[in-house]
Amino acid sequence: MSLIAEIARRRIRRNASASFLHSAALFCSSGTLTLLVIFQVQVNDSLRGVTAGLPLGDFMEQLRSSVTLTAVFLTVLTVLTVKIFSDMRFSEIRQSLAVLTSLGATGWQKSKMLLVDILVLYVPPVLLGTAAGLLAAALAGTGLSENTRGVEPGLYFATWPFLSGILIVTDSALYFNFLFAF
Amino acid sequence: MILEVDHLSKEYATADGKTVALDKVSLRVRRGAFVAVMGSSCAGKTTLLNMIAGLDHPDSGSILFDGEEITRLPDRRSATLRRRKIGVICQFYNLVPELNVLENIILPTELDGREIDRTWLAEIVERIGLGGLEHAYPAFLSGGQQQRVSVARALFSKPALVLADEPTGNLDYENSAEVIRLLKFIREKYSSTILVATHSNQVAAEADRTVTLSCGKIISDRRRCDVSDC
Repeated sequence: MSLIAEIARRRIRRNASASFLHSAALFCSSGTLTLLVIFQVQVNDSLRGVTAGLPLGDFMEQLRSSVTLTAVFLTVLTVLTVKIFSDMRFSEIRQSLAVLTSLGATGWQKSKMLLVDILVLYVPPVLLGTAAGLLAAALAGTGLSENTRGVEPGLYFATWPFLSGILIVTDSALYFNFLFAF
Repeated sequence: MILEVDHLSKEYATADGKTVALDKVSLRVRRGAFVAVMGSSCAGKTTLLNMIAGLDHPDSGSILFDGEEITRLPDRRSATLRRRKIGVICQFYNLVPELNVLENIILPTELDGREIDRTWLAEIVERIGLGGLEHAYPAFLSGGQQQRVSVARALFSKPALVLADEPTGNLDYENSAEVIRLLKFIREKYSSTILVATHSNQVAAEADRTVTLSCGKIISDRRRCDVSDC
């Protein structure tokens, strides 16, 4: 195996835990955001329906505002984390390219390393984590709605923020671990 | 002459306007010379070395290396020169953290697709005093050890020209002496030419010639009295 390929292989191994944590954190973030969106849609439907004008309606309005605020906060947190991950990744790439250039690496040799970095270390954690989170939350949201038909509305609506809360706490823990691991 | 720098100029755009890094610098160096380039920070030492290494291009002027004009070489040819004829040493070692001592040393030769001379590799590892640490990664080496690996990497391909930018800038007296000893060894054994940008009087004292830069201009060029043609 050439040393360039060896550098890429060892870099993947060295960054495996950070990439996994990043992916898991994005899974939780996109999952939570999806759940919150589904929840918000249901609250909106509910406000137009049976709870409109009842005392529960005020509670639902407050809940809707808190959910929006949480979603915005979570989006900002996710964007910032992706940015930090990208900055770290690209600063490492720039440094490696500078070293290889000073040693006389060819454009192809540098491109090979750059491609491995982007295609293996950077893109998959972001894409897989986000896509899996969206899909899992969409399935969980649909399942939750179908399996809780007939449950008392207050209890039903409380389930969602509770579930999202667990995901947000997990998410924060993962981000913390990710930054620490990197 | 192995190196002929003629009226080399370079300006950089900065927030305060333009900064002159090199101002019509001319320098001729004979094969096998040990030249120290001194000067304060921002005097233009690193810029000069980067131009000679082909890592940067001048605004005007020319550099003849081994009879070949190298200032306008395509990147591919410039990279080939660095792999085969020019060894570059940096202040911050620039080792690849994913590679161990042996792999870092052979990297430029490997990039060039040449056969590794195992006998020479074993000799150079012994000479840099890292026998037993061949499979250690840079993170587990001290600054002095890392710089010795960096020197060995630059010397492994027996380059005609070694460009060292502050090679002892982060090292104590003992490690600096070791780095200088290695540079002198390669010069004596393979007639390599050494060009060292440095603040260190310890390095300058070992050189045959000391060129001092200030604000991009050569303000003094002193040769040791016993070496008049360097």
